[in-house]
Order: sequence, then C-alpha cells, then structure tokens
Amino acid sequence: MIKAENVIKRFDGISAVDRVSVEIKEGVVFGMVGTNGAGKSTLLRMIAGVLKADEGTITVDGEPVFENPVAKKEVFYISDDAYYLNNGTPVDMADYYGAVYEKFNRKRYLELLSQLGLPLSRKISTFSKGMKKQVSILLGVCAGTKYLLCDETFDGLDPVMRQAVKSIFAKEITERGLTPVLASHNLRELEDICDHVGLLHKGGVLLSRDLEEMRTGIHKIQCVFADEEQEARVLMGLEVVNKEQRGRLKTLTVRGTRDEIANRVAAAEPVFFEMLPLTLEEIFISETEVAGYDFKKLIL
Amino acid sequence: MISRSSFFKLIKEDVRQRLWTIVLAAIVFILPVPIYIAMEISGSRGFGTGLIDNFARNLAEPMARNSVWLVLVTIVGALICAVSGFGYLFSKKKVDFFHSLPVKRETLFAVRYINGVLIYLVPYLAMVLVSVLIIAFTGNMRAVVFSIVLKGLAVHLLGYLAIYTTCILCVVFVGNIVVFFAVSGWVFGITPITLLVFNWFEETFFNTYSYLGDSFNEWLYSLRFLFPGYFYIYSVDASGLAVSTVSLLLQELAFVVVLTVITLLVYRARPSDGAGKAIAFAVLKPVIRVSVELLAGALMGMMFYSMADRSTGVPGWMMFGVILGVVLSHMLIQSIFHFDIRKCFAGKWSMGVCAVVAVLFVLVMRYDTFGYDKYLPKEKKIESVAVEVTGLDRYRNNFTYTGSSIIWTEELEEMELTNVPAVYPYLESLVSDNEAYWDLRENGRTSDFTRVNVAYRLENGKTVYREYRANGLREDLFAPIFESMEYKEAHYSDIYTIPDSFVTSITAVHAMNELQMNLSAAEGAEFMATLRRELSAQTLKEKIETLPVAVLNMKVVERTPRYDSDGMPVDHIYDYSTELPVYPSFTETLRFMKERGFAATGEYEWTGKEMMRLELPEIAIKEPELYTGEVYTKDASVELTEYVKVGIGEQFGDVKIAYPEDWDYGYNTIPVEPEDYERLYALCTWEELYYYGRPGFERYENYRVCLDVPRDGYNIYETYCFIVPRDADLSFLFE
Repeated sequence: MIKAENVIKRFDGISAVDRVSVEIKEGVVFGMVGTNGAGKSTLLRMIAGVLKADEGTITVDGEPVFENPVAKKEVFYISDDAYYLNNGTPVDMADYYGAVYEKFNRKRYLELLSQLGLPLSRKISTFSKGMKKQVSILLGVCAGTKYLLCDETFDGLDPVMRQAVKSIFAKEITERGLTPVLASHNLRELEDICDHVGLLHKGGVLLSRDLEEMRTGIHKIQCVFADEEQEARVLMGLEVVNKEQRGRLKTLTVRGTRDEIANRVAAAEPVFFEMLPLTLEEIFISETEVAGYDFKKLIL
Repeated sequence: MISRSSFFKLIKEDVRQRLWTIVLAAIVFILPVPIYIAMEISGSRGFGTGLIDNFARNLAEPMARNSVWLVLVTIVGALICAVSGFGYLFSKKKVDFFHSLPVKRETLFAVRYINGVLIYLVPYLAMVLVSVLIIAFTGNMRAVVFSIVLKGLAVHLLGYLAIYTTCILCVVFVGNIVVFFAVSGWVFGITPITLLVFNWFEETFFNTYSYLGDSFNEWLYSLRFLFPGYFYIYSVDASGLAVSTVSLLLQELAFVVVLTVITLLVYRARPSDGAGKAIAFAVLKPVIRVSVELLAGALMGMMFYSMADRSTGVPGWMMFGVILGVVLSHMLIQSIFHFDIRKCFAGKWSMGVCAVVAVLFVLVMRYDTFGYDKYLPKEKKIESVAVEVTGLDRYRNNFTYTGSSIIWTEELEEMELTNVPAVYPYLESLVSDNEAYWDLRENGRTSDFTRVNVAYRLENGKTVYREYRANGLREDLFAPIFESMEYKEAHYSDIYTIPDSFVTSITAVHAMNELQMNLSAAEGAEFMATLRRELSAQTLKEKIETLPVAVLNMKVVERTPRYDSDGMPVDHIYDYSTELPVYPSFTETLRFMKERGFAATGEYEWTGKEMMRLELPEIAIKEPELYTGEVYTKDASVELTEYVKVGIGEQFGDVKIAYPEDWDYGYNTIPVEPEDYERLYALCTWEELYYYGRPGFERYENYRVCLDVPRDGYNIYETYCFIVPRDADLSFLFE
C-alpha cells in the first residue's frame, strides 16, 4: 500500500501539495484527478521518490520511499514528459531498465512491443507521441513493480490503444496484483478504468472514494409527479443531493441504493419515472457540491 | 543496495550514453602525440648518439607536466566530462527519469563520476602506451622518458580530478547550462580576482606597500583551497613556489578527496526541482550576488580612479565607479537569477547595503583607515627582522650558496636580525620618516630620502613586508644593524657562503688599473679569509665616510653537480661573477693585493690619444631659443626630474633650462680641452667607487667626466667614467 500522510511540498514558497493524506491500496486502479496545478504530478513525483516531501511521510509498503531503493523497486514512474535515452531504441530502454529493475521481464516486453506493432530497433526519438507513450507504458508494466505511476499517460492514446492498455493492465492486475496509479486532469479518461478515484484541488485532497461505492450509492432519477403533495411525499423519504426541473419533468440525484430508491418512488405512483445511469463526472459534481465546492470550476 | 553487476551495467549504459565524449577523447589523446613522435623520429635520422638523451626527452615533452597541449586538453576535458555526466540535472524530465530509478544518489554519482574519470584516463594511458612503444621500438627509449611521462600523468590526472570535481560541483549548484558557465567563472575566479583587486588597492593607496612581499601569491597560497585551479597551475609550473611539487600534489590529492565528498553531499542534498532554475540552492544566491557586487564595485571604483584626472574629481569619480559597479552587477545577476530582465532591481535594499559596504571599503583603503602605512609590530611579537637599504652597495649581485647550488637571493629573504631591541629604534624611525616623506612629497625636497625594505618575521609565522623612505641613512640607528654579523652575512651572502674552492679568479680594479691575481688554492683561501675578517670588522662610519679604493671582481664556478627535475645530471657549467669594494681600512687585504703588484690608485700615464668630456647634469644655456623644445624656468621644472631641482645652477647662475626634443634624460656633454685633462682628472673619483656605501647618491646630481682610453694600441677605446662633486670649481674649463 502507498500511504501519504500530511504531505506538504512547496516550491519557492508556493504550496504545490498541502497536507495531503491518501492511501492507495494494492490491486486497484487508482485515478488521481485534478485541474492543472492541483498537485497531481508533484504528489506522483514524491511517491516515485524523485522529490522529497517538505513535511509528512510517504511510504510504500511501509517503507519511506525517498532515497530508498528497497521501496523504489516496487514503483515505476512514467512522467508526463518521459525521457528516453539519447538515440535510444525500445531495446536500449529495456537494457537500461533491466540493469536497475531486477524483475524486469524482457521477454514479455518484447512480446508486447511486437503485439502493439512497435519497432524494436528504431530510435524512440522518431516515434510519434502515442508510440512513445506506449513504449513507456510497456516499460512500466514489464518492470515488474507493484505500483505503476502514470502521469497523464493516457493523453494521446487512441481508443483502440486505450483498450489494449486496459487489457494489459487487467492481466497484470489479475496475475500479479499490479496497482496502476493514473493521474489525469480529464475525468472521462479515468472513468472506464479506475476502481478508486482521488480528487486533488489546490494541493489538497477533496475526496477519495471507491468508484463502485460511489456508483452504487448515488443515482439519478427523472420523474413527473401528479401534484405537489405526491412530490413532497416521495422526496421526504429520499436523500436528494441535486434537483433540477424542466417543465414538469424533474431530474433528481439521490443518494441510496438503486432498489431502495426505485421502490420508494414507484410506491408513490408518479405520472412518469425512470432511473438513469450517472457518469463519473456527474457523481463528482454531486459529491463536490455536497462538500461545498462548485465542481464545474474544478474540472472542465 | 544495488548489486555489483547492476553497478557495472549502469556504468556500461552510461558509457553508451556518453559515447561522443569517449570518441572525442580518443581522437584528442591517441592521435596527435604518437603522430608527433613518429614524425619527430622519422625526421631525426642521422643524429649522433650523444644527442639521444636530449632527443628522448624532446619526444616525451608532449606528455610532460608542463605540456601546454595536455593542460588545454585536461581543462576542456574536465569541463566537457562534468557537463556530459551531470548535465542531466539541468533537465526536469531527465531528473525525473534518473531519480525515480531504484538507485541511490550515491550510486548514480559514482557511476557518472567514475565514467568521467575513465573517459579521460583510458585514452591518456593509451596515448602513453602507444607513444612509449613507438619510442622504444625506434631505439630512443631512455629512463628519462618514464620519469617525464609518469610525472606528467600524476600532475595532469590530479589536475583533471580537481577541475572535473569542481565543475561537477558547479553543475550541481545550478539548473541551467548558461548559469553553469557563469557560476564556474565565479567559483574559479572569485578568489584570485578578489586578491588581485585587493592587491591593486594596496599598491595604489598604501605608500609602504612592498612588491617584495608578493602579497598576492602569498594570499593565494593561503587561500589555495578556495581556488580549485591553484594546484594544477602551480604543479604544471612549480618554479615560483617555495613548496615542492610532491607536496603540492599531495595537497591536491587531499583537496580532490575532500572536494569529492563535499560534491557528493551537495549532490545528494540537491532538490530535484532545481532543474531549470538558475541556482538549485537558494542559500547560494546571496553569497554569489554579494561577493560579485562588492568585487565589481571595488573594481569599477579603481578603474574610474585610474581614468579620472588626478587633479580634479578623483574621489567623486571613484565613488561613482563603485556605485555603478554594484548597480550594474546587481542588475545582471538578478536578471540571470530570475531569467527576467524586469527583475533586475529585485532586492534593492540588499543592493543598497552592498553599495554602502563597497564605498566604505574603498574609503577605508583610500585613506588607510587601519594604518597600514604606520604598521609596526610590537617588539615582543617580532621574531626577527630583515633590512635592506637600497643604494648601499648598489649593483652588487646577491648570490648565496645553499650547500647544493648557488642561487640568486633577495637580501630580505636571507637576513634574520634576531637582536630585535637593537633594530627596533631604527624601525620606529623608518615609520616616522616615511610619514614625513609623504607629507613632504608634494612640495618639499625629498631627494635625501632613501628607500628601505623591511621584512618583519613575526612569532605567528607570518612575514610582513614594508617599503619605507628613510631620511638619509640614520647612521646612529643603523650602525648597530650594519655592524652585526647577521646583517653582513646576509648583505654579503656570496662572500660568506660561497666556498673558496669555487672562486676561480680574483681581479682587483681601480679605473684603468686592473690586475688579475694568480693565487694558489692556499693563497686564495688565505685571501678570502682576510677579506671576510676585515669586512666583518668594518664599521658603518667608515663605509659611508670613506670611499673604497678598489673593487674586487671574483669569478665563481659552481662545482657541485646539479640534477634536473627528472633526476638527470645537468650538463652545464654554472658560473657567476661577483664583486666587492675594498676600503682603506682593509689594510691586510690591500697589503696582499699590493704584494702582487696592484696599486689601488687612479694613477694614469697619459698617451696623448685620450679623449675627455664633461657631462653636465643640467643644461645651462644662455640662448634657449636655439633649442626647439619647450623652455622651462627653473621654478617650473620641478615636475620634470628631481635632479633638475638640485642641479648645478649655482655654478652657472640662475639660468633658464631647456630640453631639446630628443632629450632623453641623458647627459649634456662639453668636450674638454686636452690641456685641461690632467687638472680635471685630478678632481675625479672613479664612478664605481661611489656606488658602494652611498645610499641616495645620484650621479646625475654631479659632474661626470668620461675618459676614452685607447686599448692595446688599436683604434678601439674603452670608456671610464668619473665623478666630480658638484661643488668643485670648474671655472678653469671656461677660461
């Protein structure tokens, strides 16, 4: 488990990460979302042991990570602007990482390169942005670490490649318990891949929740009530997080289990009633508004 | 911890990343020297065997410690390897890459550091190997080649390590390549430049500053550990140093070890977010800025002081220069630190404080606030003193036999007057006389003042040098010093230290009378012993009140074998010439000379072929318009030269003085009529006799008579010059 406790990091007096506490459990895909400047990259760089926290502690499996090769052996960091060795080819990169990551799986790396159609001996500097990202992801996956930190790594990947990477992740998670930590400013990129999401804003964590838990605990319903009395009767028994009205059609975001909400509304026999799926964005809107933030200002 | 195999894998991978530096080093090292040696050998066929030793030495020269080419390669190579190895610290994405690896910073440092050394060392050794093989296979191998090559390797490798490690430290300090060059300039230059500027202030504003002290080199040696290039510069050419090259190299080794540890610690402490910033450590910024601002202020102040018209506005322009220097350097540094010209005035208050401090420093130096010129150590703190009265026995050569060789020495270096209470009153008089001299200098007569150099050797091991102006010789105070053996053994160090067996000939001279004395070894030893005894007994009173009657010229050949820095015997004869005046009180010496036929007089038999001329120290003319040069009145001529002031106007009346355009401060000559030769010669004293025991004596203040004497019946003349005191009556020449 990666654990950050009250971590502070300042650059020239400006707090990039301010008292962040977060836990990343093994075997989940952790999404870290936030606006530009929210502190995602800084937090990842601290987890990777690149930066030292000014205050607080960051541990990987109970070991402080900074300047600790034992802890760092379990972490692979893919920067948002990754560096490739001068004139390096995918094979050269494998050679280099193979020298420092004992569990680097060269065979699988070469197989995956081949599967993705990436040339083995061409200079990476001649690759497209997406191809470079694929190489980085494959290097990270094959390094044999427990944790894979990806900073904006999915930007630039086409949908096919995203699916391919997802399936690679899924296999690694299943086979050896890989824990990818994906940072992105784009919530939609994480929606279909993450199990757990942490939202960073202005250097702090606004919320950190299990995605499934969020999804099962909050729902959107659209309904038309016969009269106000009926509406009041229904709403009285529900925890309504958000309410919008267009004509007589009311759209409610309600906390609770699906069955519980459906039974209660159906029992009142409204004129019209249906339950709609919530996107991750909508869930976040609801959750952050509850927390007192205007989500639309946080995430575009 | 990373395993050994992983460590070597990292080394290998790093080598692959720095391939271009390896290729460059290989080309620079392995090609030129072997080619040069091969060309030299191919062009030298037919040399005699006697020249082979020297030839072998020449072949090895490009690998010697003082090889300019190797020095250049070493310095540039150190810079390139430092940047190629650690320049990744300038790039955020490279830092993220390398610092996220499960490798300790120490390991990363070691991998890159070792590779940087290997990139230099391996091609160097390859060059040596190939060169030595070429020399050996062509039959030119001599032991001296190994000596030269090994010393060169030690000097250049240590020099490389010192510069390379310093450059790495500079890389670690900064986050940008341009700032790296600026900070490297600061690290390498701040110490010597600060000392040079301080030295400039001393020379300019302190009247008693002595060049003999060589304070710049002394300070630089004291601060050598703050000047990373010191050891390399001086181990390449250690001729000007008191310490041996081995000592210097050992110090350099210690320096490299300590510097490497410091660099590693700084590297470990360097925040990864330093990449891209000007300076990675905020604490360094004020250190660099303040030191540069103060230095720039002082430097610009001195530049404006030098350029300003001395008669007007010097202090004002100097202060302007100081402030301008501080402000300009502040603007430049802040612009670099912030990468933004608009931030050039950031930290205005700090700049103001720097300007005030710089102005105060300049004022303190300008007006000698701390009393540099009045410095006189307390008697108890002085271990010994050395005193050199310039003009006393002027033109004597000062050689000393060290026991292994004869070397040129400074009197101050040799002398140790340990009876400090006897010397102290004289030192006190020097301080007060000096003050009076500089007070008088603007308007008063100062030609009677004599320059005296003093070295104070203090109990704390320091030696302080001063140059004073003494009002005359101060006979009463100087006599106890002159008459001490400690003084004489240093003042006449050649006479007292050179073994008698080294003296190959002694010639007694008095103007045209000259006799080379043919002495056996026993006679020579007896003569030298007599001379030393009478020299030791000579009083100051006699020395300054009587003129010598002859001069002894002694030829000396060093008979001790010498070896060069490579331990090879030097095939060269070292011969010297030294001379000593003989005074009337040297009765035994004179008797010895007389017994061998030398007459210590100016008696001369005229042949009628001589030519004589009188040289006037001052042109006295009645028709100045005959000269094209400017005409000066006597009153207005003060600035021209001191001798004009004290000229012989009395003899010719108060006349105008003119200087022709081609006047070169020489003499103005009047031919003497032959009938006046003997009468004028009777007033003459051989000029050389005046050069001993007459501090302050200036021949330009007196008449000078030159006599051209035919030599050996040929139409070749030798010139002998004589002095006639300026108060002599020469009116008979104009009758």
